[in-house]
Amino acid sequence: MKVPQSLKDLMEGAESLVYLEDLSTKKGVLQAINPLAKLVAITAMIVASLFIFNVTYLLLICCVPIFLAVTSRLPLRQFFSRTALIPLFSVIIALPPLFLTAGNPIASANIGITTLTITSEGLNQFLIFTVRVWFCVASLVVFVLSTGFEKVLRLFSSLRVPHLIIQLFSLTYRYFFVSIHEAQSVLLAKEARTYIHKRTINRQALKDLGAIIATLFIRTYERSERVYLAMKARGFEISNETKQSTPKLHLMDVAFASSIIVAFAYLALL
Amino acid sequence: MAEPIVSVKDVKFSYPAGVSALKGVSVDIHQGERVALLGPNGSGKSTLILLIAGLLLPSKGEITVFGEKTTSKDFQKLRSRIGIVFQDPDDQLFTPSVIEDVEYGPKNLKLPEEDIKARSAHVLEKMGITHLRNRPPHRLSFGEKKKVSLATALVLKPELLILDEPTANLDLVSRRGLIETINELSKAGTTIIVSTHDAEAIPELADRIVVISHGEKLCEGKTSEVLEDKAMLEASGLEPPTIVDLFGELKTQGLINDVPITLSDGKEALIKLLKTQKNTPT
Repeated sequence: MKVPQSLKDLMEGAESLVYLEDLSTKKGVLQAINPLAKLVAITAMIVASLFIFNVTYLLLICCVPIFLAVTSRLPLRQFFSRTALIPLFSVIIALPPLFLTAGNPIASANIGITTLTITSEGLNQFLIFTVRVWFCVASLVVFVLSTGFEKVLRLFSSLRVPHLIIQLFSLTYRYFFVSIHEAQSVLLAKEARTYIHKRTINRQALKDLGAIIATLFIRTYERSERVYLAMKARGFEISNETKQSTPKLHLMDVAFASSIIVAFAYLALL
Repeated sequence: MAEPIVSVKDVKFSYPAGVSALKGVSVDIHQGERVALLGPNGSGKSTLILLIAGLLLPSKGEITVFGEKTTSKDFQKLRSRIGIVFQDPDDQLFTPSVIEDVEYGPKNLKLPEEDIKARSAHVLEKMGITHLRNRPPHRLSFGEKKKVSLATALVLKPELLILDEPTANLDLVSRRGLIETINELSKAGTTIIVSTHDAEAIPELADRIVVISHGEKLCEGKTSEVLEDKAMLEASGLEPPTIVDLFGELKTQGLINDVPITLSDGKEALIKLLKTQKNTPT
């Protein structure tokens, strides 16, 4: 995974992350499934994983989101890069139990003032936690990449998720691009005046960054005001609520969700 | 004369930062008119259209649209009768897909679902953007965004259509298409208010011009009269269209009597002039 080294890299990375929505229009297995059936199946997978405490089984079920990604024609490189970040944090969270759980010691290291011992029980807990987190993230990534944000919001609406929450998601999504475009235009303006992206952090770089962030906030705030006026011009009121119709389920959708539920329920009960 | 559908009476407006955008403007606009608010950047014309649309409220003075004051609580009910298209389509389009943006207004107005679908399909077809219906607006080209912006206003079937700098940043083909659409709407009875600094486009967009400069109304009149007044235009930081400038010079030289304001009229006038010159013995 490429580590962003400048604000420009960060912006490009953020934009490409969401631009992956094109994948939801590809002709793949998950793209053909009704979003509701997909959501039910993915939820069942995640819930079932919480009841699986065998590392081998957990590693086995990790093949499911990979298999779904392949059959849904999602690029594996991007799939893995997007599923790696959050599990990296989970590794940090899972580190203390690795050393603090009592049990059979399998390795130890002297680090001067103390000795760190890894027990088989600690390792088991560490693996269960990190593998489970990766599985959950991978399942969600597969769902989001194969569905598209717009369909996800429609699905939430049909499931009677409060309108305000859907609107918040929708606007956050919209403003994400607005903010990126504003940031890109600020950076472009800087570049046009011989601004060079320095890879080192010094006082000037921090000063530039501060100026860019400040400008960005002001510009996005002003744009948000204009977007609000555009919404108001078309009858927007906070209390307004528009309902989406429930998407129709077909036999294939039911079969897909049912098979996932049965298979994962079986694994959870083993 | 019939009552104006838009009546702006001695309107003043200041932004919270203290900038005085309008300093007592009065304008009347009647049913079916095509009116251009002409002025340089920062003259206050965009503020005026936001005030007419009821999106800003005047600091002083009064604006009445369709007989309802913009400060009235019931003004929101007039939303379906007023369509506004912003200069920057990125300000106007905010939903994840084109179709949702087009359906946004009708849904807010709680129109029946069948009516919303029919209106949306019709307006997308009319604007030639049916193929974009499921695309995210932020992925479209500027010209496409501009068309979608107009579609989001037209879907409400407005009786009054307000456009802020409609021709800005458009290529020639898109510009031509937009002008044709606006004129079709005008022929169908829609009242058009256009805010612009593009004097070149005005002859095709408006029958009457209101010139605004530094927050004040400098003059108003028929398009041909206002555009011929080169001194006034230059004093307000504007220039007459090239065609008017050229034929204005010919009029000053006594070669023609009337100054054409559109390119097609200019071509006719030029051919007529050349024929006359050819037949005149030297």
